[in-house]
Amino acid sequence: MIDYGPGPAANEVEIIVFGPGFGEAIAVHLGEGHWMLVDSCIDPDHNLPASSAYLNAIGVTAGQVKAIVASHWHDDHVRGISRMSEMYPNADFFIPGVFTSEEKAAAFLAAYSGHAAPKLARGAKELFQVMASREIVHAAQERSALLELGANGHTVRVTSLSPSPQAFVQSIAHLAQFLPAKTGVPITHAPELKPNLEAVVVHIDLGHDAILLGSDLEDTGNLGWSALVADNWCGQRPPATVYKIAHHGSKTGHHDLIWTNMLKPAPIVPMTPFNHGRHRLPTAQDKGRIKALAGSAYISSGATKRPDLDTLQLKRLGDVCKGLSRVNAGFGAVRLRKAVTSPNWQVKLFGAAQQL
Amino acid sequence: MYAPSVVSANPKASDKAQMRLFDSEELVKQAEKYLSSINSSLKTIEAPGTLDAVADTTAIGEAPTVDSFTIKRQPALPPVSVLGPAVRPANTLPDTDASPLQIWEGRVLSVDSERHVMEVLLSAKLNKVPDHTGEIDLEWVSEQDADLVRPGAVFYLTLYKRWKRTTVENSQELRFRRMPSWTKRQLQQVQQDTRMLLSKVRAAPTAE
Repeated sequence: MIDYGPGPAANEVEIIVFGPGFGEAIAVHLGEGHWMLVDSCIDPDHNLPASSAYLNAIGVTAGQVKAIVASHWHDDHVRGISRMSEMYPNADFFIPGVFTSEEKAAAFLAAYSGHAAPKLARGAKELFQVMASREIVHAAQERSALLELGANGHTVRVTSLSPSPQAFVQSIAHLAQFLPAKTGVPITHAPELKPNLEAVVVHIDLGHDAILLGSDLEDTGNLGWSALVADNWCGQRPPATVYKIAHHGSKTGHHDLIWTNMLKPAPIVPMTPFNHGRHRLPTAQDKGRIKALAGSAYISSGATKRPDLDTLQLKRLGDVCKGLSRVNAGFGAVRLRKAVTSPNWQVKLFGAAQQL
Repeated sequence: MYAPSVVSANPKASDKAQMRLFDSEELVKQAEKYLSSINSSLKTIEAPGTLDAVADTTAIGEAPTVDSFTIKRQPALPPVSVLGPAVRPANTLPDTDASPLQIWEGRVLSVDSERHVMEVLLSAKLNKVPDHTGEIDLEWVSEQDADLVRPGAVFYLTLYKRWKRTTVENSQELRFRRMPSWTKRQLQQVQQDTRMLLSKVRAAPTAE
């Protein structure tokens, strides 16, 4: 059980990134007790959404959560988000614009809501449950204003920098393939669009500093990050000193102009790993690149692949399945906190978190 | 509980072809009804209902904790026709007990045709065991299930310990879940839900 200690003071800002190996959640204290939450994964000790377990631990009440953002529908980013939505009913809920402005995309959520196809596209099911239970959800896309409030004498502005209109077209074309067109067609799994062009990148202008949350946005051609960094309006956002790196530090989530145009020199980079079979992020090359660009970088969970099975189970399963490795190497959190008057973030690592 | 296809002992190439398949969840239900009708002493798992029910009661991200269960067979089995042509009868012998060591619910992450393997994510259904990933040779997949092997497909890998008179053998069973087809009612539900979802959407204001 992690002991997080006391929460931030009213005149402090904070970002805490949670991750068990497969999963990511972020909680941000904007000052004066105002919180926003981005994405969700499960804290295994409490079997609760990680951000909720943290807020409970530090005594934050439901009314203090002002906004929840589901940056995209992938299972590792939204597990438990429907539960989180129930726990904070007065928080505005934001979902990627692609799901809410197009009938085909909404139909995708409806099709994979869990009614007809249990356990297929669990992420879609989570978002469906949120939308079904709320009166209103808000669509976030490039240049959307998510939240604006006053704290500690500053105006805090939270905006979304993606998805771009061009990315909408590709995303919807992908989702449309998995819509049930007629009876008699087998229900199939709906894989995630690769590369991820539909994720919501969030910029938090604290007034005295800024934070950039890269979600899982990737880059290809003139979509994704290329579109974002080429956009004048996005480029005019105050540069950030903290960058929750995109797509678990992958090469496809990297763009040089993020580092030169959107971040201050030597930013602090918290991140979560992605452990899913042979596809593990960040790779050794990714780590080298990140360490060269960041002032310091931290990851929420260690990278051990050793199976966590007793001898008999390991032997029996190993007869059928080779290359066994566990998905979650350990739940951890990276927390950055500072006073609004201070330029320096204080880093604290919890659980399995470690410096990159 | 599903009747396990108790294949031969430790894994050999010949064993890999002898996999029990269920063409649909409906056949699975038939099998359960069949088993409970022939064996009044059959013990199901100490958890709500069938395997799928266990799966459906899964809490957020977690497999339910089921400590153990045992399947006991009566010596005489009714004819195969009770189950339908697509389901082969359990290959059991008199005085045979099978105890599952573990039931893994698997999801195919990717398929490598060149290396003839599928990368899988495994979630344990018995006891609190963490999720694992690994690779399974496609030889373990029967011909009847070959068309189901694709990213996102779900299968169940059951590892058994089987007592046969005085000997103990290891056996395993891998079967894919064959999804039903969309029905008219489901499509209508999707349309209804789509309208509901769209009615709740509000565009966030554009930032200055």
